[in-house]
Amino acid sequence: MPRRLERGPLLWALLVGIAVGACLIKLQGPWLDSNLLSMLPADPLPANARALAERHQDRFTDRTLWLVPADNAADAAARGRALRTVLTNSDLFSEVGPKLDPARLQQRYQALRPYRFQLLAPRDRRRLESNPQALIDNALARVFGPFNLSGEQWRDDPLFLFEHYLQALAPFTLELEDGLPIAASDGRYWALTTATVRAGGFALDRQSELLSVTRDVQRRWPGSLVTGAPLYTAAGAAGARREMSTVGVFSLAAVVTLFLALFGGPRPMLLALASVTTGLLCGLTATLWVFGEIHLIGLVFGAGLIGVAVDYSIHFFCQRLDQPGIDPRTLRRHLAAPLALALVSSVLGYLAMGLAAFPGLRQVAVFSAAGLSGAWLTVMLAVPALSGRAAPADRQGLLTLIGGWRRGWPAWCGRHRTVLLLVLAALLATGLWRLTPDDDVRHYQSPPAWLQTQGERIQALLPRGDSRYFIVHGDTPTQWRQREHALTRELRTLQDQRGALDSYRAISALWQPAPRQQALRETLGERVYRHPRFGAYLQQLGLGDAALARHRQALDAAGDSLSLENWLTAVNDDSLRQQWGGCDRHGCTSLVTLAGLRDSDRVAALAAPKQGRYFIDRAGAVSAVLATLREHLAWLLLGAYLLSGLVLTLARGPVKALRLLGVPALASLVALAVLGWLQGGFGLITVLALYLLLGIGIDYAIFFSQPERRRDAAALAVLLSAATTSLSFGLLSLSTTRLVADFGLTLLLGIVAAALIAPLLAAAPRPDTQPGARP
Amino acid sequence: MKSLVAVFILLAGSVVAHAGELTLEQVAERLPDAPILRADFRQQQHLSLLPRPLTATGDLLLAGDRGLLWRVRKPFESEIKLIDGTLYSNGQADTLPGGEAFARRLMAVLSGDIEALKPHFHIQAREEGDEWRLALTPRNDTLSRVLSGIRLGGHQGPEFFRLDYPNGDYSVTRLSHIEYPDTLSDDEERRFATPP
Repeated sequence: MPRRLERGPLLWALLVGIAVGACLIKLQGPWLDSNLLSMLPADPLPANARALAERHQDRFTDRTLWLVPADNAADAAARGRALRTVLTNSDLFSEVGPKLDPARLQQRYQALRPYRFQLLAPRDRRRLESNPQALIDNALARVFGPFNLSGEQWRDDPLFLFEHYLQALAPFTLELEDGLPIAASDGRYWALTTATVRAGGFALDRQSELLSVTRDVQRRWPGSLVTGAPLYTAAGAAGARREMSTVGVFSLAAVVTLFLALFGGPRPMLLALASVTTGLLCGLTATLWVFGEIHLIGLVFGAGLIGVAVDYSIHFFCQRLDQPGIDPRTLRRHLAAPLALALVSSVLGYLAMGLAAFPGLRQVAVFSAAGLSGAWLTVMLAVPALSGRAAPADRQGLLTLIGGWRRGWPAWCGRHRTVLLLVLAALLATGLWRLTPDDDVRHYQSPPAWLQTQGERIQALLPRGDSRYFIVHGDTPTQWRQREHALTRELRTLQDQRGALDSYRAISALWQPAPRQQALRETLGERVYRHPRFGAYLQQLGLGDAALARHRQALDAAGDSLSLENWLTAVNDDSLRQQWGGCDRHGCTSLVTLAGLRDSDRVAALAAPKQGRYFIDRAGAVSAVLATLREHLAWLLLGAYLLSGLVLTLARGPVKALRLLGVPALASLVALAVLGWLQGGFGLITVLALYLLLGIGIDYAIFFSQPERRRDAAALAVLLSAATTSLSFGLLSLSTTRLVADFGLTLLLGIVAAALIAPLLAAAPRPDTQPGARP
Repeated sequence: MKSLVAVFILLAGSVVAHAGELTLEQVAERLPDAPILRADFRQQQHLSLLPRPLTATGDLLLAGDRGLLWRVRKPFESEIKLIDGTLYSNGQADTLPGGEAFARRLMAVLSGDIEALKPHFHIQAREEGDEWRLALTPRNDTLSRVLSGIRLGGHQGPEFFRLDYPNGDYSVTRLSHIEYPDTLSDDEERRFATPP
């Protein structure tokens, strides 16, 4: 055997070896990212505000919430404890809680008590300004009201102002039973537990563990409820993985079956698998090295790439079938040019996708370009030398049959040209007209029904905060406070006048800087404690001058102000602490949380980045970003066509280039039109499918554009490729996730169309064609 | 042995009672099955802090699904409304002391809703003359820090209740002119309408 033949497989083996090594290095760490949000561009926020936003986001992304029911609070608490043991033992969570001390509120009371004359609830602060007598009247109503009072508390807080303030700090408090928070509803009692998944909790094996722990818990305590972003992610990833492995497995099974049936012997099949595997390996390795990890969407697209990557080997073996006696090396020489052209034009198309300002798509671009190159290199380097010298199975009958179709189909179309063109034009016009953009992010994940139901029930049991919020930034502490204060004033207006939201929580509403604390104490003295109305109030309750003197003395004795840090320590509330981003050289930042958002447009309109006021709505932003992205990608798709067209023009001249490009272009239009008729949405994923279709269509076109004597084999290759890929994408189109179904359907339609159009456009009969040239 | 059983029953939420005592079911049977309670009240609060008890009189209206109207006539006029978990003092939204859970419990006491009280209190029932009496002790720490016990009783529905605080303070509220109408009057409907 000549030495020249040995070099190819050796080079290939080296390539595979390097790729495996490089891939293994990267797979040591966390490598898969299935968080939909992380493929989006980051919000434009000041540097220190971003850290605050991310910390807040993490509370949502890492946390799970569990509720176990019982008929009474004590049983619920006991079950809640048992649940916590189960969760802790599962080793999935870094923190299982909350561990609440029943004395915590008492401690807060004691810590804040010395400052009670400087800390007023926002409502009382406003009353003090506008109508101080109302503070007295409400206190009287409270004293003689149905709630009674305990003298202990009243001694310190004769007007209940401190009670109001403490209430404003904790507007929603669950009662504790044996240290566990208990929610009560409809005679049932629910013990609440939160559990934070460990960092790296998104790794695949961890996700399925999380789902199985959830199943165990629900079996052990029927009626228990669970929700949380990690579960949605895990369930989504499980679904996507299931569907993607279906495609992968069916694509491979189809390749294996067809190769075994057609080409005889395992060798061609194994080589085709080697080519596809090398491609996927190269794609994965390149993505991991460029980006450090791979997003689920990259893997999804990668699985679809199998269908394109296998084309090169299909084409090689079909040509070999057609020319049984040919030396594989000679065949490689023949095929090098068309296959290289197919590769370059597809790769350029995918790389155009990488220009999108969207991390997820850059990954797809790199994955596809490297993956296709890997598959192509395998066919060029290893396949010819390893394909053996044994003559392939005799398939002349099949080739003749295919040849008949290849010549007959364009001829038939030619005869019915007018009718066909009219039908096509009508289909395209009406279908494309019916096509409407659809970028609703909810279609991108379809959580299992049980998860959705439980999430809604929990929402009904526990008032939970909205995931949307404001970030306020100021260059100095003073500017920050003024800005946040201005924002809360506008929020309150929306809340009071329009009911646009139920409530908000802002640090500046509960804590004021030292000068304001002192001013407030002064005003409180002037308008209430030293005012005759206070003496009259005490007298109505039968208290004399001694009590009056005592209260005034207490007011005078309170002198210190409470710094923000000390206040946060005294309040000792995790969620309030999370709202404070602190001050550094970039300025000060805080977070204003919202609840019960009904008119989000009006609230969002309060955002004013120039005044350091940012409204963060990641979920809503996703839909908007997806729409922008779809438009960008559509333009980039045109760019990809132009690039491919340029390459094809350089190789084949402008007229042929147009004919070749016409195959994917027309196939895409047909697919879109049919999609329009089937009421499919036209979203980001559809455009992504059109990218794949560009690669596939160009492959088909180039195969068909070879010299006439190789066209029967080319037709066989195209039909084979179309059969395998449309089978796997057809399966995808049955998916319950709208996104995946749209992706599969677009490709199924497009591939069938491309296979039918390719013989018409790419291989249009030319004058030198000799019908019936096959012996 | 008998007292041991009694302690056990008390701890278990006591459904069965001793001879001479009532079961909770027997009390529940006596309670009127009415959606609305209308009554005058006289409330006396005995606080160690004050030289003499605070006395207030007025009328109240409790409509199970709507809320509570509490109108003080003497020593001066004021009104507290509790509608859909929100408290209004003299027509203005105000802070609800003790939160919504506490308000629900108060309404359960006023209406003698044993089922709603059972999970939060150990309940002991007995008979005094021809009146029933319930003694409630909080089950959980949160509540027992602010309230040491509740006693209530009456012929049919509750006619009085007494709240005891850990520091020895207590308050007694007596109801009179009790009515159990089926519907609210127009005026009462208006008063239940959420203030602007």
